[in-house]
Amino acid sequence: MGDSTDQVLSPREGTAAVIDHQERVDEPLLRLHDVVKHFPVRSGARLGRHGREVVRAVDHVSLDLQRGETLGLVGETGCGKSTLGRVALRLLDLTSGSVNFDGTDLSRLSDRRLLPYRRQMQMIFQDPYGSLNGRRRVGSIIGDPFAIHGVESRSARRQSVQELMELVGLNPEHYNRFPAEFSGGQRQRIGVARALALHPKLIVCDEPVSALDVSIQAQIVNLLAGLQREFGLTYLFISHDLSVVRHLCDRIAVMYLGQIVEIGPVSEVAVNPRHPYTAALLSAVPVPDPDAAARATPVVLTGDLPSPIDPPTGCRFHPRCPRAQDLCRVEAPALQIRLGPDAAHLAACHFPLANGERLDGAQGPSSDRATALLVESLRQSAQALVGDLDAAPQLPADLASEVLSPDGQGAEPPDAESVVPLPGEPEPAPARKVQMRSPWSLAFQRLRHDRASIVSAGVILSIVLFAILAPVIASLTGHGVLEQFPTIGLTPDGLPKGPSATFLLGTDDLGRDLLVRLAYGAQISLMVGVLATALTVFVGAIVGLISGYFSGLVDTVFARVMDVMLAIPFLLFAISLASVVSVTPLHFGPVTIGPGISIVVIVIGIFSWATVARIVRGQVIAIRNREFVEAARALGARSWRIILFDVLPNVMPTIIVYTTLLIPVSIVSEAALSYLGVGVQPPTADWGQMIAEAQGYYQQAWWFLTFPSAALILTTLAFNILGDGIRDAIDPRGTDFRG
Amino acid sequence: MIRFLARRIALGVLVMWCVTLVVFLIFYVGPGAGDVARALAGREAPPSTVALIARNLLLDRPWYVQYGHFLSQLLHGNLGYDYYNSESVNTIIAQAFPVTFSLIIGAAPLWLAFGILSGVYSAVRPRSLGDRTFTGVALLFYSTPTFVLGVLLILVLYYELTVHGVSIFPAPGYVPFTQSPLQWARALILPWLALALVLAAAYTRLTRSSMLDVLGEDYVRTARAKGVPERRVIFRHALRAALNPIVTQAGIDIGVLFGGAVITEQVFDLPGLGWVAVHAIQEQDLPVIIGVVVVASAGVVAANLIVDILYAVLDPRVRLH
Ligand SMILES: Nc1ncnc2c1ncn2[C@@H]1O[C@H](COP(=O)(O)OP(=O)(O)OP(=O)(O)O)[C@@H](O)[C@H]1O
Ligand code: SF4
Ligand SMILES: [Mg+2]
Repeated sequence: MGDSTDQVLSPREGTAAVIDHQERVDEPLLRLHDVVKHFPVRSGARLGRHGREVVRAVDHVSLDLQRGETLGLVGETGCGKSTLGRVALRLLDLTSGSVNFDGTDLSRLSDRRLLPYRRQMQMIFQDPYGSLNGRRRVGSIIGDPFAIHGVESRSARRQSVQELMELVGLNPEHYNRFPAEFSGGQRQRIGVARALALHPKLIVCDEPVSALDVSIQAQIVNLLAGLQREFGLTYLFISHDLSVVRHLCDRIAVMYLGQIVEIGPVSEVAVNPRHPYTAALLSAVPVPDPDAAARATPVVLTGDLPSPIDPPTGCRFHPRCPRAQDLCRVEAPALQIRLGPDAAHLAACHFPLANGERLDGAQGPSSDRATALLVESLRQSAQALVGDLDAAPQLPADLASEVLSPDGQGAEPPDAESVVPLPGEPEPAPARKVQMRSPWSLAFQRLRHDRASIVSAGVILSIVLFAILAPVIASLTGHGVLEQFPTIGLTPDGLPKGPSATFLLGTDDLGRDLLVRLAYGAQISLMVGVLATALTVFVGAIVGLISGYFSGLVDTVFARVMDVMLAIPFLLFAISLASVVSVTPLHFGPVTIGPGISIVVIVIGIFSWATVARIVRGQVIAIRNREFVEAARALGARSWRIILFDVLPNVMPTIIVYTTLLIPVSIVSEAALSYLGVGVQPPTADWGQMIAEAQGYYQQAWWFLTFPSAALILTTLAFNILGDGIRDAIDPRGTDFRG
Repeated sequence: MIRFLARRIALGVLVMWCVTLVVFLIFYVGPGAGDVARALAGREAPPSTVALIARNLLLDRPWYVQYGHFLSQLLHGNLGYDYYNSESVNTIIAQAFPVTFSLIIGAAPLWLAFGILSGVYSAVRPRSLGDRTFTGVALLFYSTPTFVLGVLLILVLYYELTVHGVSIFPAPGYVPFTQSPLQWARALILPWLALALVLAAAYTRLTRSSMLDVLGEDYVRTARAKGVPERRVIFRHALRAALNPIVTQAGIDIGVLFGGAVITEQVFDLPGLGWVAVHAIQEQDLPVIIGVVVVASAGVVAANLIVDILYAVLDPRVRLH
């Protein structure tokens, strides 16, 4: 660590960048001035509380980030660290204040104008599972920045991506794998490679190691440190782990309830904290020296973290501060030099601790001794964390350990990861079977082993064949679909005839061959089922995607339309539409709607797209907040690109499942409309209509009612079972495929 | 709470307004200027009736005047006039509504009880024989159209039983509650059953998956680990959380039934709203259809509103948006 500003020149950057850099070298890379970020909250069911409440996630923060330095941002959960990081990258709009990056004020720039700056600032996320789109191959994920900014030709891209993979310690041959086939640490390397692709100047690391095993943490921290040396990166390193921060950072900023309460060089803040909150945080960090441990009893903060909606008056820390006095309750302390010689060390406290003073007020051991102890303990904990520091910089050797970890871990990466093989262990032969298994092929594999689904698929196939072969059946039996056989097809009383060699399934009330009519009826059912579903899913998916992704006005309008559609009694409207049509064709401008199959398809489509839209919207809203979408935004991807490449593949499973489950619904809807006499009109053969006609004959001709009913039930049942099977195959319980 | 209700009511009004708009489009605009009056007059109406209708509905005026007239008539509670049968649509609907209401009021508790209990059982004992049975049966009924199930119920439970001398279930038809509560219930048993079985199947599936999700949550495990009795874990902790999607679905379903019991009413010959609508279609009696659509939509809106209120009362944390 230490001062690496003299190494900022990346071997990959052009001379222009060098000059540019040297001109502004004295100016901070990032300057946050009086940044405020409030989130409006919908005032919940709190009675009597009207007006708009806001979460004061970041409240008047000013901060400078020097080129090449690493600033650690620490604080309890919910204090606003991530929000500050996102504001700094302009992934969030500011409530007020300004963000100045490399001499440009970004705070009011539109997304389009921000695009060039997105190349220069990047983000590494906490969740190695959530920050990568599980449905895309690693090569495409890492290549995303190139694609978005169109900086490399398609062919050159692969090479660059593989270089990046090598740089971060991944095996470039794993280019075509899916994230699920990597361990947590390796995924984090993927995230690092993606962030690095466009040679950014600034990287915000939002708890990049806290989701990892301790042993893996060290490797990632070392990787980040090494990359910083190599490329002169500037890091804003968010963490709640003080030992990691102490190891990696040049300066520390401590946040409490949306504000920075102390900031200064690591050596200062970690050894001589001025702010009682910092001291309390530090006292909770384990110290290896038993002597020191005995003295440094952890200060337990009393009380809960107050709500950022309604922060305490005066100093926000006062309800929990052991040193609080009356002044603290009324007057908010400013962030300034309170004590000590170092102008770079600021604290926001009316009664800061003195050099070496302990939080409980008692004087510690001589401050020199305390410092020596702390430094020693720091060194030890750092060593425990990252191994021998002096040896650390040899990145490739260090990284080898993880690169070489066994390959068969695709199934259970987290477990495989706890065993880190020794460096130098030869790479095991790659296990063939895990190569390039997309989530889709996994799902397909599972489906193939589901007997019920296979049988259903077989049944569906038979019905399709039955429908296709209807004309063949008609010619084989010699009975046309509309052909009536008043003599041989009806009893002397004029009733339908039962199954016989001539009429395999019997006849209907007009003496027509039931088998032939069933086959033609299957055509109608399947055709309407598929067409209506396609219409429904197409419209529903588009509306759901748009409405879910763009919050705000668009969403509100669409959501209301969906509510309205869902609240309209579908069948009645379908009936009225069909009924008017049967009286007189409708004319809407150039469109004329007359009776027939098309009206049935349209009616079903119009009234059921909202269901699909609602479900897709719900999923999109969940996905929109996932880290990989944020990662895409951080790269500067346009909305349509994110929707198409990141969101759609993740809602596709749902869409497919719903499509399978909607087909039977559409088939039943069509049959119901025809049963009621407003669907397909006689004499066209149709299952619903046949059931309606048979209803008058159930006492005399069981076959007339039974066969069409059975055909209908069998079809819907088969589709439903297959739909269930597909759903289980795509999202089997227990394996979180969303991760 | 008040804001929440205001929002929901506003939504209801919006829905109703959209309904009137769509109805107007379908019936007053769609047929084309010359044909509206003729279509509304019904079959074989004399030209004098057609002319009367055109005058009454201001059909010679611009569409927005017509719509304004249409809307103001509705707001005054006038659903229109059935020229074909020379009867006010209000009267026709007033007679039909209790029938539909009877159908829903009996079927809803049945299907909710069937569906939720079997779903809970299936989720609590996954892969057991009971689960497999419930899931299989649910799938079967879920795949069976109401009209098929209804016809089959009539065939087996009414016809076959009666033929063999066991006349428990009456022939399709309706007996008003005011006339004889017992006969009312008896006449409605089969329709209730048909409706409940088909809908319960959906609720079994919904409850099962929702419960399985919730049972996997940490707090349920914590409750179990703390030694909370299993029954309490299931019904107090898990079911409560799992109930949300079920309540929402119930709101939609009950609402839609006010218009969508069409099929059950048709199969069992119950002269409710749906039946009236279907018969109006066969008679090409459009004014009645308009009336039924508007009233049924109002029923849907009201049902959704009631569910929303219940929701807010039951769960004070309800997300108000
Ligand atoms: N999009 C949002 N809408 C509303 N409130 C939000 C939003 N994002 C964050 N908050 C709130 O802002 C506050 C700060 O959140 P933030 O995520 O920045 O905290 P953090 O310090 O990163 O916490 P952690 O350590 O858990 O990551 C929290 O109270 C959080 O609930
Ligand atoms: S200002 Fe007062 S309350 Fe705040 S940290 Fe300092 S001593 Fe504690
Ligand atoms: Mg955070």
